[in-house]
Amino acid sequence: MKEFGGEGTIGLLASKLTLEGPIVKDRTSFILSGRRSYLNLLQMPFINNPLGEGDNTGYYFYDVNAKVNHIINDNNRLYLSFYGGNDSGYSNSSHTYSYENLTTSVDEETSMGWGNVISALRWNHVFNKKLFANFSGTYTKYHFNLLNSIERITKEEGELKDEYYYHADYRSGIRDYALKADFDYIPSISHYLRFGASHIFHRFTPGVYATLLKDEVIDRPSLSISDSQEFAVYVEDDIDLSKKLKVNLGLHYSGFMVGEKNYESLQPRASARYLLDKNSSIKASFANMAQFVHLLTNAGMGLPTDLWVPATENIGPQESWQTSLGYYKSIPGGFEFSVEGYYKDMEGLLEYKDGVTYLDIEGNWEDKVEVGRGRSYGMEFFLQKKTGKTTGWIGYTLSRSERQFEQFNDNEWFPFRYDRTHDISLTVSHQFTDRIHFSGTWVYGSGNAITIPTHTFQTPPPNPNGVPGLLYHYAARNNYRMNAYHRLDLGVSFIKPTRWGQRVWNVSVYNAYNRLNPFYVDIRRNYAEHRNMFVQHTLFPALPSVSYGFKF
Amino acid sequence: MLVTASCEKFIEIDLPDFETKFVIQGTLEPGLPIHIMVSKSKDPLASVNWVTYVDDVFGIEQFEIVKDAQVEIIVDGQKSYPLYFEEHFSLGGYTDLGRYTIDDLEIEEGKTYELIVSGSNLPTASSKVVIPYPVDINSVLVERGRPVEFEYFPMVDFTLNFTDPYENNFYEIKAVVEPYQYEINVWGDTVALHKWPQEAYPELKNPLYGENRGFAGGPQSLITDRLFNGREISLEYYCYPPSYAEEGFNVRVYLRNISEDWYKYETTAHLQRSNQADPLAQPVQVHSNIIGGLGILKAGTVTLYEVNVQWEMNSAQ
Repeated sequence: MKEFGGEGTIGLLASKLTLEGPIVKDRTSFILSGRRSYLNLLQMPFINNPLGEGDNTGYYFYDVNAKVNHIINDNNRLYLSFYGGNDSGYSNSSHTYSYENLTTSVDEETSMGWGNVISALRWNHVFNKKLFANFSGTYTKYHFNLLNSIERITKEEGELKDEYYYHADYRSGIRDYALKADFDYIPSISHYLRFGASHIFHRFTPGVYATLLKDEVIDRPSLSISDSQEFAVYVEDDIDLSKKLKVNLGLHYSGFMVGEKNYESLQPRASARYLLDKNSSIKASFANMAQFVHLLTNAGMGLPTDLWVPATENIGPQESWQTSLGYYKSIPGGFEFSVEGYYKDMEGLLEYKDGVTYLDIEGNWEDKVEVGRGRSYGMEFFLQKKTGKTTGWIGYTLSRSERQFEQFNDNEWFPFRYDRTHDISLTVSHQFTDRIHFSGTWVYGSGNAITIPTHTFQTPPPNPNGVPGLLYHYAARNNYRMNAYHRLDLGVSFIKPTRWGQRVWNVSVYNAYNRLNPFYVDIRRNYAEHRNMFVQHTLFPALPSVSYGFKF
Repeated sequence: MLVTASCEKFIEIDLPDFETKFVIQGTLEPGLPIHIMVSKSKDPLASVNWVTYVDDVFGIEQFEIVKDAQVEIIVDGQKSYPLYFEEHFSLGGYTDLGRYTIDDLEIEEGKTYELIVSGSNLPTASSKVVIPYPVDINSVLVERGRPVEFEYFPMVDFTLNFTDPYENNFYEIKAVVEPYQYEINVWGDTVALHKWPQEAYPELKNPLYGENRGFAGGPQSLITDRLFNGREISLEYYCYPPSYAEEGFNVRVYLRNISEDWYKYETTAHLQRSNQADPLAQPVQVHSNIIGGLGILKAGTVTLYEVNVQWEMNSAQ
């Protein structure tokens, strides 16, 4: 609010700049920042592929953040904010293989992108010492798109012998226009009430298109559009029942209107904290929830074709309840420890039916899903140190997330695609001196669960005198675990005050031990060696970087 | 730049250990020979080029046929019958596949048959089925359907009427058209009248009762009785006419009461075959009732109804 300032970083992998300052001194201020990576431009000449030449792979992201704050008077403030960001990864490859008289050329294009736009106008109003409120209007837009295209041509001495073309285009988009009012009311020292209401207009545009014909790509069908409205009203109260016991009781009522259908949900929530002594406490909670948006994940190998879809006139919302119990303790030396167990039960979950394909088939996603149930449970351990030259935290979660659908997998429970049995995060920061800081992060996560065949076997032909058949056997849905994801990031910062502010040299390495983490897996044909391979696709190897940062 | 030079797009990884299993394709039906084919499964990455020319005859060479397994059938949990391997057995496009069979065991409806396959250093595979009871066909009404371009006959519409028993039933409906055609010798003299049965690929007029699978799905229609359980039902079909018939033709309709395992296997296998061209299609678990192995042991009982049709052939178009 008082003076202009900024900071920035120029690095090998990405750069960012942040500027902030007053527009009207002590009344209106702004902050503006932007980032952009350019790894894709730098690495282009150096990408190689174990099967040959002709690859172009890259990834980049950018985002912009802007905010303006304005103080109207002591009781009224306005905030205007905007965020826009986009990530994009792409891979194009072109290879030619020869075997005896046959020449096969394979051209493949894969791209994946996602992004968000969030804009909000918020008015903060203080009614009196006990009551204040925030009124906001927001616009958000999310998009995700995935493109996979393969063309394979085999010729024998220049004459076309075989041709195969496949094109798939997955798009997932959500636009929300929302109005919200949130009130905070403190009637007494032992009560803190929050209540409010919201209304959101949703526009979903999930769209999938697939074809085996090259000509059809030119004339793609339009995406399906689904409009709906969601409203919610809530009230909750933090109550100090005694010096040791504090409870939060709440009630959330939400509704979802789509087409001729109205869904309503009343969701009670409660949590309690009991102080065992000044350094330790026990917490428990229970909550009922409803969610009107579904995530559709694919069960097989291949690219992650996740699709966000809304509840519709035919597909209801997800409903769940969750309970948790935890123990928290402050330990001398600046440590905090907690352990918490939870269980969550879910109904109304969606999974693709067996065999669903978007290839040359009429009908939308609603015809391709089954409804089932799920459960998640686990334990979370957390240890944190906040004070001293060395700070950081370590967290470990042991959990299971499973699904059960009557129509497939013999109605047996199977792991959710994103079930992560072990999840570990370790972060350490150490101040060697005032000018030399070290940071390190290590993360570990169990691999995604996907469905892969375990056998192939012969079958009689479906038609008499027909060609014999070959089928794949899948022992169960999501029967295979991709390799675990783990990564170590290290960084050292050299800080020096200057006349105009501060400069920082940072030397870091992302993925320090060059772990080839899985992005997705599939079966590929090694045409040079005439065999099939089970391959894991990765995105980023070790990425060292040097950056120069400044602050004024 | 050194870092970016180490970028690799993908790496080859190992699948979990593969264990070969028996694959059983067997059928038990009253009135028909016992028919059990046994082969070995392969690694899912195996390159299977499953059609080769062998002396101008299509042959299978990639999936190993098991000829030395110990195969037995136990009837109602009491008596065991060993099966022998019949070397020169062919099935449609298959030649010299071989099968396990037995001469002196009649399959009877209502009885329980347990199949056990062992040996060949593979895990023992087994399956147990109960033979369904036959369901009588009340009537089959044949009518002229829509004209077919360049064909002598229109489509054959037929209505199959039967009474479904109480309990969950599954059916396979097939139709065969059998035209009568004269055999002419080299001097143009008629020497015999023959019948030439042809699969007719029946398709339901009302797909609510079941899915029409087209030519690729085979000549059978598969349905369940969920819409008409315990009631008399008339199912309307249309099927392809014979290409040529000089003295009319027969329409034979087969109503096979099949086990639920048979139905599930056929529908899931067809679904997987239909989507094999799409790398992003959801995987399909093909149903199996083989414990310790793969494949299917089918159980069914068939009834037959035959109608003789005397239609005049259309002029050639």
